[in-house]
Amino acid sequence: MISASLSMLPAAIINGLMYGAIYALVALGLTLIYGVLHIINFAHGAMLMLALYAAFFLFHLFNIDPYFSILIVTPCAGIFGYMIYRYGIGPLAKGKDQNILLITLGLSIIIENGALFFFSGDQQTVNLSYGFEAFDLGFMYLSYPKVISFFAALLMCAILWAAMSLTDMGRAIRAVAKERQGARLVGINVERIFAVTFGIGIACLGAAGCMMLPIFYVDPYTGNIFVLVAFTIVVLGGMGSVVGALVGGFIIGITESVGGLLLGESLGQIGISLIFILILIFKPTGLFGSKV
Amino acid sequence: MSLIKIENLAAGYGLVEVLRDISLEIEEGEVVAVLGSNGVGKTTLNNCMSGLIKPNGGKIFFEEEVISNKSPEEIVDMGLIHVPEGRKLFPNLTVRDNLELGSYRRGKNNRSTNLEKVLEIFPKLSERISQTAGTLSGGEQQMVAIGRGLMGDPRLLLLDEPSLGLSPLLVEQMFELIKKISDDGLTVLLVEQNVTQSLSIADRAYVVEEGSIAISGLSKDLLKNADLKKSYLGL
Repeated sequence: MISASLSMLPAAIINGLMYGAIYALVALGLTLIYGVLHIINFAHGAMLMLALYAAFFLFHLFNIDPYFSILIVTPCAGIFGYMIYRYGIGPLAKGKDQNILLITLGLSIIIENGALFFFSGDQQTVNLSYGFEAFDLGFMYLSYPKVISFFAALLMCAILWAAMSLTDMGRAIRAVAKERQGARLVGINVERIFAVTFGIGIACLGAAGCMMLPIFYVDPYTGNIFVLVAFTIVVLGGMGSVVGALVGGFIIGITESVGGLLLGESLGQIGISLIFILILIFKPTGLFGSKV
Repeated sequence: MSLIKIENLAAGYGLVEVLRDISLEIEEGEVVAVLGSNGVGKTTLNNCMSGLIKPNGGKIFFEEEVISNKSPEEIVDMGLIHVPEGRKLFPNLTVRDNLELGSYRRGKNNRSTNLEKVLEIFPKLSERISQTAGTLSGGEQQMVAIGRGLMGDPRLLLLDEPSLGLSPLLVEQMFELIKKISDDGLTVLLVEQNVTQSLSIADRAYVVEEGSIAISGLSKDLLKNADLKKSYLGL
């Protein structure tokens, strides 16, 4: 049994990498918002679920391929996130961080129950014509959707990284994360940067939702499954670290997949919790985190 | 026409009144020092000018336009650039990024020529250009802070305690550099505790005590002023 498991190890690792890239994208949104606004977006899961439904309905009603939907859902999610911060969270919070926590928590309850009401609690999936086609790697088959999702997620991360280090807006976002007053004095509108960051974080979810749909299902609670994992990744990689989110995403993806292989599907998640506990004990700032 | 004019400014935080009644004026091309010991409201005065806090009373005119109700970014747009006390650099960003963000709004079109100029004034920063600002020494950080201010094509440069936390030798160098910058025609408002050094490079000075202007005049006259000598120079 063990030797059979070991022979499947490479396959499990590659599978883990595929999921890891998508996890990383969800975590990236979370860590970005945390790093700049210094708050946890409790509505992250609910918004991911909305993105999944958006991709689902685009496929169901208009027959638009979920991977093509990335180009539609990502910018829409970004604008949605920007608007909701600019005209909802921002003004309502009145500058108090604890208010933002409560508002995002309230938002998640509204969105989830709205989804239950309008979309029902049934699990929905999409069947793509190429959904069961796969690459033959010799020792394993790798389905097209997983491979496309993997590269699309990596591409998103790369674009985001480039934007954050090369554009004025990206540098302003990183500046605001560490020094708000200094940012105001060079003429950066900090409130606007908050809204833009929130928008980018939600845009990551938009992309992640489209990539997940072909290899997963959607119901009003799907988002929370991933966000719980994303929280672990953010803590593992270091709060606010983009590189940390990516590396953490891969580590968690592989842990889950290898854990599932060795311990069985239901116990596989133990590895994630174990990593979470170890990180909290030995390196609470995370792998790439800086001291607060 | 004065570049900046402050009339009967009053400001504070909540119920605490810090500035009671401040009036001052700066002409184009002047170097003016605002002197005073800790806690007399120098930084509050600066924060009012750059729009970080809103005054409770009085008016601030910049080029004859009221700016006391404007946002910090609108004030930056007009060319009033505040180099804050404690530098407030972006520690996670490189020296280059810190400097370039100085032209986030104003001076964007002159970014590369201004960067060259700043590196000419502070040659040491060329060696540090790719290092993150958080890893620099105090003196180098102060250079980046002033350099970041210069990147925004200032009409008026507001320097808040540039000598704070620097070694005596560095303090002297810093004042020489400020002198050099102002010799090129830049208008500078220097807020300082270091009275002797400030008076040596400023044309005029105001001394703030308990939230209002206690003494003002030409630097060379103030250096002879008996009250000032007694309270600040210990002579």
